[in-house]
Amino acid sequence: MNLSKNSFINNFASLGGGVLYLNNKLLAESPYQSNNFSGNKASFANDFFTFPVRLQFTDNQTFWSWINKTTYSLNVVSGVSITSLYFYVVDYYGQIIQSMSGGLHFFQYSLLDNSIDILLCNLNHWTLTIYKTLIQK
Amino acid sequence: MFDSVTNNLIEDCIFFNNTSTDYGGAIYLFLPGDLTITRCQFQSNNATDGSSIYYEETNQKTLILISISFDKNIASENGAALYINGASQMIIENCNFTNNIIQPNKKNLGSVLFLDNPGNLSIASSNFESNQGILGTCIYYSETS
Repeated sequence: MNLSKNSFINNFASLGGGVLYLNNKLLAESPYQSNNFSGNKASFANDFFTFPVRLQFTDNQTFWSWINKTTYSLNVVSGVSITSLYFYVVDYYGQIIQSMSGGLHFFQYSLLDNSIDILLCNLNHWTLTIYKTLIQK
Repeated sequence: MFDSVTNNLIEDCIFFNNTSTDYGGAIYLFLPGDLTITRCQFQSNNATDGSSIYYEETNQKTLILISISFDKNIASENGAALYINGASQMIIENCNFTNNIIQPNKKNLGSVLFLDNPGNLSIASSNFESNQGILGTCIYYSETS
């Protein structure tokens, strides 16, 4: 999707994304150039909203948590039997967009103002650490 | 209504105060082929989905919208201006989307432009102002395939 030289002024969303909501799509490949955003309002994400991130372990003891912090760290409780850890990117309605397990992962989000933020995720057998996220603006 | 026709052109038309109890308050497009709409006005149209234009295409076709105004259209579910279900390429240029409304219902996804798999999409030099919706008021974009 290419958005360029558009004006988005005084739009309102009763939930999220006063201007733009992207479902099932990461923003990395999307160019946004010279758009004007002004006075847009929403309950969350006044201008645009992609999808929040939450976590799930793969065994029966599921754990879901919305990540609303710029950093996040989770340690598996001792004695809990978990064969492996998975990290899921999940959209607003709970659909899994992307999953991964093991090792170090980088995700790049290209934002509407062309700034770039990185979600750095370290998955090993016992811990999951997200060093930085920025998923809404 | 356009059905299985190719190389369509709609230009210099006004669609005012039309109502559908289902899809496409002003225009319903099912497998329309390549289509260009230019220099038209859509005002005060009502529908469940796609109050001005409902577009559904499963083939590799292109939809081009140039110099169109969408004003005061109301959808009870999705797409007060456009509801797009499939396309291979979609171009929107120099269009105005103003005062369009999605009726408040949390079951609705909302948006002035409801875009479900629109293919390669370009929106340029267009104005979105004073629209009201639920989730992604100006543009709700979904890729499900």
